[in-house]
Amino acid sequence: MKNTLKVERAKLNITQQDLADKVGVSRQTINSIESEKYVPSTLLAIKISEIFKTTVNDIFKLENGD
Amino acid sequence: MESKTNKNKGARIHKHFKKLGIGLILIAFLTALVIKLSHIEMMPTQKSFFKVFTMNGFILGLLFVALAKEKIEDEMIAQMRLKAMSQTFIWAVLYVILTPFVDLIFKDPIQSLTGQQVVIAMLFCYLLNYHSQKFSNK
Repeated sequence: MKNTLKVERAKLNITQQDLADKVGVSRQTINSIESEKYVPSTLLAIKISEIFKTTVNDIFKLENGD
Repeated sequence: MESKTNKNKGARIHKHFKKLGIGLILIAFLTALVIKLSHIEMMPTQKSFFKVFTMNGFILGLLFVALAKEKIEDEMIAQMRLKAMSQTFIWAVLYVILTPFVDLIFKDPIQSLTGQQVVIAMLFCYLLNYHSQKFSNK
């Protein structure tokens, strides 16, 4: 699963730590999501999309084979 | 932002127990080391008491370290713990099955494993697995 979290974060000019604090996870979790090592739960994905005032589908996209 | 669905409901204890666990492990290890090196004459009952005391202290210390909460206990940590536990379970089964063959290879008499040995091996395996996952995600 691909994501545009880094781009969205850059648009709002917030750090990984800021985003982590807002959604209630650790900075390592945000880093793992950005580097596509970890796929977040639906709940976390919705929380993240709410921070960026967009939809989950705009941030997280399925790849071939997912 | 924390909701009811986001809470990790696994059996976890306060993060300070990690330090307590490390302390217990050190005390158990040092006690065993001092008794071994000082060649103190002991009755068999005293010897078995100290063996039980050190082994149980070691197990309890490892358990405290394994169950202690992280600073932020989120869903990725919960997933890592689950993965480490499932791999530990498989490893423990293989350990119990394969240990007699290791004794055979080295032509030692086959000894049955004690519960304490299996529990220590499982806790070690869990902690190694969990921390290696944490390290690779840093």
